[in-house]
Amino acid sequence: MTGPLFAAQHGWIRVTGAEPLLSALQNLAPAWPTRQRQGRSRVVASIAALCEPEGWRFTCDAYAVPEFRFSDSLAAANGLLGTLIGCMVALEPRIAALHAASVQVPGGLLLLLGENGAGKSTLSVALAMRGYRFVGDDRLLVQFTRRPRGIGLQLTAKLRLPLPGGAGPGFGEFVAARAVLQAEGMSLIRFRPEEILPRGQSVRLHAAILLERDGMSQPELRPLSRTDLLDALLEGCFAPQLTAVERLQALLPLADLPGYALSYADSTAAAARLGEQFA
Amino acid sequence: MTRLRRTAGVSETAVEGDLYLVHPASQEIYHLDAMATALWRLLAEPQREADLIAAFAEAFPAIEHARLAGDITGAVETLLRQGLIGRD
Repeated sequence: MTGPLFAAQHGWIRVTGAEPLLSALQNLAPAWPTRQRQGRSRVVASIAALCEPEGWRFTCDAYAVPEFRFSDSLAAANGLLGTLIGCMVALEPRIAALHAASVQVPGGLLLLLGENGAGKSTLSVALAMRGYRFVGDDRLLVQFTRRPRGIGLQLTAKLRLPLPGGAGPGFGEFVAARAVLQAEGMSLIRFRPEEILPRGQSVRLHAAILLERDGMSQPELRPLSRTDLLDALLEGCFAPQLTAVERLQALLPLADLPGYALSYADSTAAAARLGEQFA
Repeated sequence: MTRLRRTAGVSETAVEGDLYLVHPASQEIYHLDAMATALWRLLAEPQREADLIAAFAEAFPAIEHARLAGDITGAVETLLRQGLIGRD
């Protein structure tokens, strides 16, 4: 079997059958180290990309990939990226992937949690516009230590088009200046090196925010109970190498972080409120 | 009348007074609400559903019996559906 290799923590992941997706994958993960030839590289896992009449799907020998199908190439490349991250996590005993956006504030990383459509991407980009270092808009690797750390993946941010009306003045220009691709209703945003946490660099987690988009005119930040935060973390935690009990135990230190619920309508105003809180 | 009992192998973790249970086969994690937590604690020993209702009625005499019984039956059904408890 041949196919490009993608770096994992302790070796390389071989990907086969994904040639039509590699250009889009490069746009999504421009900093992910790759190799075309195996040479002396240690291959620790393999992913197969399968293009079938129902759409693209992926399999991996390190974990059971959920049975998702992807019809367009950008979505499929994003699915492949998710499989690569899942594979990397599956190979490591003390790492999980969180469905979260993240930016770096003075005390460490701010986790932005919430369901799809809660505004994680827009708010993380709005915070980057205010000068906070961008870490991710959808996925964050977390290292389970006594004081948990987030690990940069240096992925491209994805914003749904049209941009939300509540994003505020200057947001469109900020996004346009960094857009590398607009396709299939998405704009891909590549941050400048000084604006994004480099791939592989880890930073302590500082606080977690659960996003609740509503019609309120002013953003409201209120404390979140430890169990509400734990529930949100459990909802968005991917760690196929851990049993459910291990996952629960691993997330308890994260639930000790200061947690807040943020109700908001306007991303720019919400970013300003978070800026006040975490300056 | 059959008795209700905890499913063997369910693991429990207490967080801030709340209980999280993990089903050993499905690996699902359940965050119990206050009533389910109280039921789980009472089921440290197998119990008949009528005895559970009587225990709650004694603890909460101000609550109308029919309403209390309905709430407990609902919570028991949920725990049974989740496989966290079973019947003898």
